[in-house]
Amino acid sequence: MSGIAGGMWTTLKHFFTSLTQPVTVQYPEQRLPLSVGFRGLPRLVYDLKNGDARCVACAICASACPVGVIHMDTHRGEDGRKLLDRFDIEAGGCIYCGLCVEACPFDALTMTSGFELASYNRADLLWPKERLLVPGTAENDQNMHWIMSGVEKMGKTPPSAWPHAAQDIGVMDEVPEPPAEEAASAADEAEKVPAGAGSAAE
Amino acid sequence: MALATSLNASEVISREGSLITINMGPQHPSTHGVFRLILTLDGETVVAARPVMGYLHRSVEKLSESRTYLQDVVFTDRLDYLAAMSTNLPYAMALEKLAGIEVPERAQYIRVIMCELQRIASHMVAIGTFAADVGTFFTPLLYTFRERERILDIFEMCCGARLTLTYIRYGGVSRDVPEDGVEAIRRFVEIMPDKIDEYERLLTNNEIFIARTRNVGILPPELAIAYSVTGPVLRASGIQYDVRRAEPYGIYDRFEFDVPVRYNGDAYDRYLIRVAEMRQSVRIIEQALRDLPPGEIKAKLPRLFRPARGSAYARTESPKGELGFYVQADGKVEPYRLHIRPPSFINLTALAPLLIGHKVADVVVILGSIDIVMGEVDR
Repeated sequence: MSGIAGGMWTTLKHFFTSLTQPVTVQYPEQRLPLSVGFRGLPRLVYDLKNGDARCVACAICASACPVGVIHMDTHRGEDGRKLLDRFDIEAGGCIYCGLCVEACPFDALTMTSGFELASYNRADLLWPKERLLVPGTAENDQNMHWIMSGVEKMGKTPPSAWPHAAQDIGVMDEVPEPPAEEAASAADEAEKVPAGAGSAAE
Repeated sequence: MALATSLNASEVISREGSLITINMGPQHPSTHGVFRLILTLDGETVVAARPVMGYLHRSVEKLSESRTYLQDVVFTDRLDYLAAMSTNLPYAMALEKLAGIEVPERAQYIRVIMCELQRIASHMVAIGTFAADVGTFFTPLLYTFRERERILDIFEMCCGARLTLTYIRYGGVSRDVPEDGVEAIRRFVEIMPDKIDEYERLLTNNEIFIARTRNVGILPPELAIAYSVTGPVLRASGIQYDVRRAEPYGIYDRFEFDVPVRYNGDAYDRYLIRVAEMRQSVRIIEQALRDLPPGEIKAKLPRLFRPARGSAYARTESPKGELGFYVQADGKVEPYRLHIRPPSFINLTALAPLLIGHKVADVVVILGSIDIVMGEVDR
């Protein structure tokens, strides 16, 4: 019986230590901090300065996704740039692998620490771009860079293809216009880079 | 006894003379997933057993042929989901062999640390659920999960996920271990030997545990070899075979560790082997942490990974046994064929001969002692 007594003693000891030093936390009220680079739902980043989403609609993320949950519709704008009509992520099918964030050459996607994505109906699990937008705060950018470190980055953050989206959904009051020459050069880059990277992502 | 009552729930489906055929599973709490076992019983004694697998088949091998090499990494997470690191590794190694990639030193050390942490975590689940199958009702399980949580926290620091890690990639690992991650691993290694002692105090000398597991499900060494059984199940049958020692991969030849072996081949020995392996894994992590060099974590690779035509096979010692990946490439961005040798599946083939002659209540004990993960069995 000594073996059973030894086990009982262990549990008894832990019963008393757990009164003062519990191992568990009271989850919904009490939360443990998540680590930097936590892979939650992929989100679109908009710039804090001008409210532009950084996405240029190159669709590299959609082709990098192993389960194909990123859906994108685009059209060419007047200035020849691609504009996003639709950017949806099926949260119900996303496997949180982070490959889209690693693939994005424009720092336009990050993953947030949100993991409570349950919903009462299926339609709510389709996240449109308005819902996916998060500000490009230092915290979000840091998270993004942790997720994609190890993959060579081009490291540029062009202005958005749909600049007033942030304004439209009311997260920003005024969207300042970027200087003309900067916008033009950025448009060139936006055209060049996805062409090269797009073939790489294939 | 509680296990017997849960068996009664899966109804008797046919009677032939005095023999009864019952279905255990696919929805049975002690089959560790959707695994079905057709048992023919004479009273309480098993006279025939037929395992039925495939309820969790997701056709991973076929799906991989239509995804790029990088996208296939996420499938490997979902094979043995209790040991995603250990399943990432042979796939990465097979591709590195195929494309002739040199893995940086630091990445090699990180791989060893992560895989050994994962081995500890997997054995914790194995021991905890095995004890729950025997009838301890989750006390040891909660103790092992307390430390498993720390391992998952370390994984979260290193790769942002806790279960489906996608961490070990061809060419290295996906990101570097942060400073606090190294510190967390160091703390974990310090406390772990005491915690293993604690699990042992709960189980190893417990008379009821011994009565339920000793001389139950004896696997003789000849039979183990005949069925190609690997991992802790094989080593409990008296054969000292470990891929890390028999054919050292990565940098495993640099570490000092023992390959534990026991000779009875029963469920109790399989438990003891797992405990001993956890101690050895702690030893390996200690050495790897001591030597962890600075430097690159990923080999320089072209953005488009397209290995030339050819094939490669890599095998590793996963927590469950020998895990092999065979990759055949035809110069495209996706593999032409991917074949997986899952240890759980092959160990499970030896289940039927183990069960014959035992009582129904021992069936769950034997199944628990083999430690299967259905994600890997059915792929």
